[in-house]
Amino acid sequence: MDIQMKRGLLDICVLAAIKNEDSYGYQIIKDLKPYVELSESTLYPILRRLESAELLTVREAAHNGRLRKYYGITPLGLKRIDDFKEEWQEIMSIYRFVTKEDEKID
Amino acid sequence: MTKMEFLAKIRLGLSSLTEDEIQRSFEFYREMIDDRIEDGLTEEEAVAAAGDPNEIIRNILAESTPKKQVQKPQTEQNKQIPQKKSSNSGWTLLAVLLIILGSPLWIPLIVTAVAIVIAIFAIIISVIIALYAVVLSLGIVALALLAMALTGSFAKGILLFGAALICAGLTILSLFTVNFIVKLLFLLCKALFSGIKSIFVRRKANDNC
Repeated sequence: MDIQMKRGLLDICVLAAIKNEDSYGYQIIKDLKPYVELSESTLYPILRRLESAELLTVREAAHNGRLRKYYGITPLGLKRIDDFKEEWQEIMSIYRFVTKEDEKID
Repeated sequence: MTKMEFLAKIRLGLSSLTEDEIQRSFEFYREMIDDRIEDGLTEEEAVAAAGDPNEIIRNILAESTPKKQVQKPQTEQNKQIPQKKSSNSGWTLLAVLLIILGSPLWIPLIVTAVAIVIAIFAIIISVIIALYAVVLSLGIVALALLAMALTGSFAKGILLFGAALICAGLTILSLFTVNFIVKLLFLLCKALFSGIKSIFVRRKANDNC
């Protein structure tokens, strides 16, 4: 898959993983595992990027005597997911057009 | 590899980044390993699952370069720019203070230097005037002697005429000598002037740097 495209898709995946409730790094990786293989060396830059774009916020909470970072989605992050859904409709219609052309040739 | 070894490796590999950035990465990977250990993995397994530290470092460094440009203006760079400015203004403040506090020292020094330069030029000009005055006086004496030779007796007239000729000869010789000396003095003035000029030109060049 195209690197830029994959990057964008992974951003959406991480946003979707924290959409319903705040989550932490390891939990995000576990939640995404059935759908997409995501290593922490990939996750870390994504989280930093989303944080700086203000699509998510970070808070620290105590857990078992240590601090754990929890990531929560922002309204901007929710909008990003909605935008993605709309974009995907466009992409699907383009996909249908492209595959229709294929059928004609065949 | 133990957790501490792994984290130390990451910290070392990211040393080119800001301390804030290093701390964030460090905490992220420490949390990841701790969560995996909590999930039932041994420390060794948890560290192995976190991935190759060299690759992790590469990924963070590759990401943080554009990040520093795009995201940093909100945090680090904003902090750094005022710091730079304040350190600059601190330096100029120090310079201004030194200039003000040093004024009892440097004002007399500059006045003295200017006075010395003016004095040197005045001396040179007066020397030139004095030399021409000598030439002029010799010429006047020669003319006076010639006038006296025409009025007195013959023997006295010849004596005075001879003296007048000597004076005229001396006048012409001294005129050449004085002209030569004045030429030398002009060259000296020129050298002095260009020397002074070069000091200021060099200072200006330094200021531009």
